[in-house]
Amino acid sequence: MSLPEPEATPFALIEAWRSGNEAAATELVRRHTRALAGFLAAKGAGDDLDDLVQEAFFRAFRRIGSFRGEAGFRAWLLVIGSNALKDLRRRARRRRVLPLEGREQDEAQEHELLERLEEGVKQLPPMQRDVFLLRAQQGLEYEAIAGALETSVGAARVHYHHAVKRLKQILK
Amino acid sequence: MIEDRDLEGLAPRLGRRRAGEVDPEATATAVVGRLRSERPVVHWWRLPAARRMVAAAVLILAAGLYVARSGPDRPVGQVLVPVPVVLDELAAAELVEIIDSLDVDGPVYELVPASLHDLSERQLERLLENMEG
Repeated sequence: MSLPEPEATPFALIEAWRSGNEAAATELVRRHTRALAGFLAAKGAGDDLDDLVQEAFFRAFRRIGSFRGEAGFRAWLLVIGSNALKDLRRRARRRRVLPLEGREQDEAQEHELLERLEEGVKQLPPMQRDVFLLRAQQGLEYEAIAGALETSVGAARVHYHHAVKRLKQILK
Repeated sequence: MIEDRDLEGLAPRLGRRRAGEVDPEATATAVVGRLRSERPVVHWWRLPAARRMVAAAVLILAAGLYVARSGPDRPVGQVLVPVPVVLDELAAAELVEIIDSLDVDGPVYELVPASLHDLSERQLERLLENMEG
């Protein structure tokens, strides 16, 4: 089994994986693990972040045939991760997903503003939160965000604008 | 009052510390291991490229038959060996069985075109009509 080229595109890696090349799948996971984990953490994923990241990748590979590339692989993956987080919360129901007390201690050295921003992001409506994180945290273009979230570019811009406005009010 | 640029400067750091605790190598190992355990065995004839090649071979053979059987001494458009199948849905073994069942003899092989490009527009049209039944 040949190792994928370092500069191989997501499409090339996906095609290699579908042809049975496990190294291609490994490379895809390596490239996107930290971005996915950061995104899910900012959305409030709890102590099971590792498991959630793995579940998101697993779901992505299982439905890799539906990836068309309009939004880019990372945006597509992040939305799958977001849905996995929703499912986890649904299953957990009343169980608290965020052990805030413990995390506050862990994050004592973090900048105060960053902590407040994290809490602010969690207060945003889901669509505003996703658009804000995909744009501001992940640095994705509005076109990719709109494709991944199945909305229009204009709507994505409006959600971002409202998210920023609301966060500024929370943080002032 | 926090400015937009301050907010956008902070945002990339959201979740970074916790993301740093997730090991990409361990994640890759776990994900690929789970995929491997749940992935069905893929036979070579199930691979898209192999299936396309076999399907193309059958199509070209059928085209050759069409050309051979619609010569001056036969009614135009009559295909004696129809290919009433969705090629992409067949396994290689099934395609081989179909090929074996074709009544192919010497003269036909001589007339098999190099590709579908060797067929006239009319011949191609009639071939597709017959294949669609």
